[in-house]
Amino acid sequence: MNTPLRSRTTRQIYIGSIVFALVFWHLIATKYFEPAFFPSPLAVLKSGYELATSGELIKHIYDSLFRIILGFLIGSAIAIPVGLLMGSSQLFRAILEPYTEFFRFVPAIAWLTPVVLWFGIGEISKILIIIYTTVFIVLINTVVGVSNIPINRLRAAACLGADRLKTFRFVIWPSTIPFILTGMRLAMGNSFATVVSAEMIAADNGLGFLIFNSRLWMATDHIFVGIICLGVLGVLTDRIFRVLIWRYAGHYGATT
Amino acid sequence: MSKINSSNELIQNKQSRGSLTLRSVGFSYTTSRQQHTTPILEHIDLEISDGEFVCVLGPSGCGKTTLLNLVAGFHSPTQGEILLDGSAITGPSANRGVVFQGEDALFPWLTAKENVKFGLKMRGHTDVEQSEIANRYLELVHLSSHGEKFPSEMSGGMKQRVQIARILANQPQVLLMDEPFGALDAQTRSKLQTDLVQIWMKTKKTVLFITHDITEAILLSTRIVLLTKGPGSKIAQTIEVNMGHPRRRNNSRFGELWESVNDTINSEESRTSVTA
Repeated sequence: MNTPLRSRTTRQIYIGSIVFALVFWHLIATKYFEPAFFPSPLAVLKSGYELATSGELIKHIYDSLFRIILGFLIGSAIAIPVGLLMGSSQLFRAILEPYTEFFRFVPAIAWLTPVVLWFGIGEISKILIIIYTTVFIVLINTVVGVSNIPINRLRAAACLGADRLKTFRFVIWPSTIPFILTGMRLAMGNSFATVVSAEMIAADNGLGFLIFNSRLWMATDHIFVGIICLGVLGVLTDRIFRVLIWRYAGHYGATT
Repeated sequence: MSKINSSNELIQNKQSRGSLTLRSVGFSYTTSRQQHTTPILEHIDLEISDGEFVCVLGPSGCGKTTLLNLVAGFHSPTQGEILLDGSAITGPSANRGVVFQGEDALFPWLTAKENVKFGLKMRGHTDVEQSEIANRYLELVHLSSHGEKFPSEMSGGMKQRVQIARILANQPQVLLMDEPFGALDAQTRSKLQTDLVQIWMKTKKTVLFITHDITEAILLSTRIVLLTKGPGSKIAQTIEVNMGHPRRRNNSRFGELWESVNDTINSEESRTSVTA
């Protein structure tokens, strides 16, 4: 089984690759470009340090993460039970499938204006947008998870004496966990993308706001700080997710 | 000594055996698109008495597995009826346990022991009982020291042993086995066949065993039911296997039986290929 902890050699190659990229970036940026056009890693680090010590960066990170995590958790909490119901009941599936099939192609950001119109410019709108983006990804993965349960596993449960309810609790639910977790991982990635778009259009804080607002005075270094923060936060949350999956759901067949 | 006695008592529970009656059972399915009915099984009349080991043998696609699914209650016969100890079968139940060919029937998030406990848990046994009974049946299938392993950590043969223990622990009246050793390598299969015969002699369970392997059928069963080639398979012949255990393949009776079964299958093949 793959552990999320990589071997020492792999980690060394990882670090070597990052160092190489940074050096390459530094050489290209300082040799060929104006700082306002393409800032060097040192310039970005300096701006990042200034933004961090002033407390501004932490505030933006906190605001974005708060929206992502809250929306993600509420979205998952809605999607998992509904997905389980849709997966196990033909009736539920027939009622809801037209909507899930339709709305999953409509990106959350397309809803931004109506949502702001209806719910105002505040936190609620942005969290709703994240919930929306999370719901469809987790929901569809959950439904797929239920319909992918091997028929023999359900039959085995039946001939071991499990009724419908027990089959649901002791077989369908644990069989679906890996699919739900995969859906949640994907949804987390989408939540990052969505929060940035939402903050660019309708916010006065958050990493999306930092990135978009910095264009007004050509603070390209600030934009790079925002971009790097997004990447690092994304990798970190995904890592945490992977460790949790590996630790608690390895035997459910979840891959990390 | 007292422990062995009590475990034998438990394993040979007289209450938990049963006889099966299939009365002119037929099964066909209609595809919704073509309105066309395809017969799978026709006029199956079969009486399996308490403690018998019956092998259903036939070419692939002859409806062997369908027959087992009907007895298990996963499908309902479109004609006729199936009775267990005189009462009609209406759906799957713990009194008819199935050992599947595929390992996907095990619960991968549960250890071997937890898999064996599953049925007992469903049927409301206490934790102590579950654990005690599971240990006995793991011992019966020679997996005592592997109870804490997950299916992903076990070989194909071990997984089939878990399936057998899991079903037997539940004290079904009939044991249904759907080509349980079909996906195993020859050596493992041979070992499991020997062990299954021993388990059967210990438990005196009624067994309905599906296979396409003539040798396996002769090695295991008290009676072989030969199905004709599909569609619309019928019983071509039933053959009594009057041999004691352990059975040896080099025995002359074994060879004669093998030839006779093989001839019957071949004549079936040529008959159907002429009409086809």
